[in-house]
Amino acid sequence: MSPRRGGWLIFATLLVAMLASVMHLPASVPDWAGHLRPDWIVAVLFYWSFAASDRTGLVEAWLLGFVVDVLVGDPLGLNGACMAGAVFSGHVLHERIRLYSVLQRAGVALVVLLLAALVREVARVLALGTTPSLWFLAAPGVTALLFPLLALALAALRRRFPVR
Amino acid sequence: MAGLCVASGALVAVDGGTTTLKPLRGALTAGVSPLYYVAESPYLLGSRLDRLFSTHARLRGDVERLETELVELRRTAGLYQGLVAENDRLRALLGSTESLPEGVLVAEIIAILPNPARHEVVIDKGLGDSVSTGQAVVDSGGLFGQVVQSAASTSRVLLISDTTHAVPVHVNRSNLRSIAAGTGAFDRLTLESVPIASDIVPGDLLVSSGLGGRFPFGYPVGIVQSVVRDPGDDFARVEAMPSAALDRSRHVLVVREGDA
Repeated sequence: MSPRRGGWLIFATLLVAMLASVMHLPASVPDWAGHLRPDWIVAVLFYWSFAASDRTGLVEAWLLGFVVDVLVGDPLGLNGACMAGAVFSGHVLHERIRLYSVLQRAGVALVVLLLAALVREVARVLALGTTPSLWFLAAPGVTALLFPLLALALAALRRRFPVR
Repeated sequence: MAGLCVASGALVAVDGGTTTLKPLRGALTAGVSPLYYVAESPYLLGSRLDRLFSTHARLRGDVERLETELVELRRTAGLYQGLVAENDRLRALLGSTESLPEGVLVAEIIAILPNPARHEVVIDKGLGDSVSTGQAVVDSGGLFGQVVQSAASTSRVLLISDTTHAVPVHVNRSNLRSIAAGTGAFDRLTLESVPIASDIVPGDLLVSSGLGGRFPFGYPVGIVQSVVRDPGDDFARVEAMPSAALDRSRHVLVVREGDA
């Protein structure tokens, strides 16, 4: 994620993802709708980790996780692990994923997002004492459904501002 | 990767169980606070525009409504002043200490944490305005929550409806003591360990009892909605509706005991 050669684009998209993650919903929206909020940060990071695998780093993702932790009020280090995990999966699978169809990519994203959500839910229950509920499964599903659109948008940005 | 996961696990354990990482978290929060403002900007802009384009008739209506409210509140405040004086005289007669004066600070909610399982908001006052951890937060209706973490110019407030939150209360009518715990729903609190034969009925007002030393005495917490007495249980199941507009308030007051 160095600022040269388009690294700024990765950072900018992550910043927008963070804003989308903390922006609160209007009061007219029912309470449960908050559970459906897509996990933009992990989705965007995962896209970059396979589309521009040499421009994303595990340690950078992990450090950026601290900002997310503070932003959403999680224990420090938690989102770092989820984000580094997403980048790691992207790096390991990038040659394969680049050949995949749109649907297959969404499927891989679903698995990555589900794992991140599971880790987050367990850590929140253990460290913060929140009541466990199965709602945490909803957001990865919504995010995976939106993933093809997200990937399309990010790919268009990438063509406009080359990352490499 | 494994190293990062172990480091994360250790950090989460340390941060969840101790306050060692509080300075780091405070510094980071100060850094990310602008993001809250950016994320909130559509709403701030919306209310700006709303004010800009509101009609003359609506403004006049608002002024009239506020004036009536002001007259009513003045009357109540007058009564209240008399009661405070009387209360102080009685306390002096009984030889007990006078209650500490309280100062309040108006704060605006600038962000609502995105996880629906947790009821926390961010307000625009922090250490710089001498807001510190543990201070009570109220809105115009009643008790709202407490400050759980403060950074340079923002603070996080845990709402009384969060599942990890509980307030010592008493029933205004019968002085029955209990603890009002959050349920994770904005419109519901439950009372813990209320003996089945206790004097509590729907409609009772719950006020903070000041026991435990965290919340000041006498702020409305909620109104009892239902009392279910199952003869098979040791305790009655009591549910209450919070007095504060937990999901609607924009402005709240931070109560600072000891500075009037």
